[in-house]
Amino acid sequence: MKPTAAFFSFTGCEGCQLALLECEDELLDILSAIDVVKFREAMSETSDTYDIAFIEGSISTPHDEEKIKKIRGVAKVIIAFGACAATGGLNAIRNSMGSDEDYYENLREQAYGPVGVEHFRSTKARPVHAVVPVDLTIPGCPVDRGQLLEVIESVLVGRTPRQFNHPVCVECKLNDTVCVVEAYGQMCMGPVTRAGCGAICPGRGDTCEGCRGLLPDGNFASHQQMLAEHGNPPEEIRLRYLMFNAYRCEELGVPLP
Amino acid sequence: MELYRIDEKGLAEAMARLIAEYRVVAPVEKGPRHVFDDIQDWSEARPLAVGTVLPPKKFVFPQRETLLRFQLTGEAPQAEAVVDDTPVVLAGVHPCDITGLRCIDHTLAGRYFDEHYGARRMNAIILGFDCMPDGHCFCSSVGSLKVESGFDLFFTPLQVGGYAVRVGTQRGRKLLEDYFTAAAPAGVYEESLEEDFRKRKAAAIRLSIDAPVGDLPGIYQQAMRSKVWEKWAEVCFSCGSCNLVCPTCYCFDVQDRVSLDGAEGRRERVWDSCMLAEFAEVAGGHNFRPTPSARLIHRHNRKFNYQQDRYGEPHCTGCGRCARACLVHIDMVTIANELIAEQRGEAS
Repeated sequence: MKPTAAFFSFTGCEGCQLALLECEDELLDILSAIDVVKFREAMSETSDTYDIAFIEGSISTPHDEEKIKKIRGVAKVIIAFGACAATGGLNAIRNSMGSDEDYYENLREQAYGPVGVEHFRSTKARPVHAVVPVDLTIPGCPVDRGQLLEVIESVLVGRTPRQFNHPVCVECKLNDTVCVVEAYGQMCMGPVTRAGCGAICPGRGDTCEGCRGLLPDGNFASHQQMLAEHGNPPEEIRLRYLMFNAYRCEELGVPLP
Repeated sequence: MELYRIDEKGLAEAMARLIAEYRVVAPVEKGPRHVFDDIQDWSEARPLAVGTVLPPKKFVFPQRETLLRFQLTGEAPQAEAVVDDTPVVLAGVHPCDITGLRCIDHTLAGRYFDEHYGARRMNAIILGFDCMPDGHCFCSSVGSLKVESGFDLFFTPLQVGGYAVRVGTQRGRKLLEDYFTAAAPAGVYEESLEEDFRKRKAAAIRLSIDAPVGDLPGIYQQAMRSKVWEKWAEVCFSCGSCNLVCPTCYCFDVQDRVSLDGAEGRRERVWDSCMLAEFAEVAGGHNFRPTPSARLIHRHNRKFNYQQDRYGEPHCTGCGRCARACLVHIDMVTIANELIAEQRGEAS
């Protein structure tokens, strides 16, 4: 029997679910290999039982927390799907601005007005693994479709997918990309960021913003010093680290300028 | 070795004829740097440009390649090797990169013959070009300032215009006859101009290793516990850039990809790098080189000790790519000279 899969969206933009729909050439193959039983972006039917749960978005409300625990009770495999689910993503920027209840209440009031304060409880934005155990992770904002297909393939053949415990620099070199730091002095997170995206941003002359998450053993002190030597002000470096990696910096204990 | 002379126009005409019949690659501009890429017209080529991001190695040992395709349906699995023997003309290959290919030959086309590499290598036509160094070049320290072989034809730019052309192989001789029809036999005058070019090239090289290359295996052997490694490991990103741009590195990873219906698949080989934290990790999670310093020691010994000891020549060609690519300025020459100074200091 085909494994069943469900897609769940937490705090995020649902762009990663769209990344799956963009696998146009492979979509029929995917659907003939797994049975999608719940997918808000693509279908109206739903089911309460499933083997694989794709979790998109970060966990940032008490309701999120309750819901993800229920999913963990049902799913055999939980896949953290996209930057928000994998590392907290952009949502975690707010963690770096304050964490006490007053801070959140103040934010809610600004966003939703006095009535909303009661109805939109929120907490620190966390990746899925901070709340329940996660089996597989596909990071990235959005996820890379090549890696998505590779993970599906790995689940189907029963092997552990590659983890890409190496930086984006590897993929820039494999692509013969001119280094945006070396040649243009730009502020790039590539040397400390997990690869697997094919270095798509530097390959098009942009910089890596670190969306796939800081490597567990990245040389952050040396990286920050290198960026500073290229004339980047400390505050810019700090913001660049916090952009996609606010939770990750806290998790890994990365000192920031 | 036979010597000829050809002017720019004659060279461009010959290259146009080659481009009409072959896949021709050469250094081309990419932003402020150069990369080896396919050319449709010789005017795109920058054959004298030094420091392409990747060396021309990628055409005989591609970053990613399919080694075999397999079928999993039917009574028993079937597999078929994928061997690419399409000829390719590599133009603008400098002495350091010609030497780099020879280094890889020792391992992949020597006692053990890698069919995939071998087929591409034998069908790669090498048009070598001499070059002027930039601030990262140090070929004169590692014996690759000048090459006597490893090319089909070798072009040295002459101060009076045009090129001196050396014929390195029978295939090169045939190419010269069939395509480089404007080439005229040359003699002692052109030879002296060639020599003159190399003298200016040698004089322009700013870096040097402070010991004869033959002494390096012993120096590195003795330096296993040197503090130099720790010092540079402190700033190293373990990003692998140095390995990946190296003309002599050949380490790879092999991965199997299976179609979603489980019916077929392919085995792929992808470049790997011994500077990456995961490189020496084995099943069960043990890592034989868990620290950046252990990885630096390994990489640098591969260049000047282990491989040199086994094959009789350093596996660093002085191309300077690793230093250009390293964002924290770790380079072969500085490390070699620090080790040499350390040992001389201890000895005195």
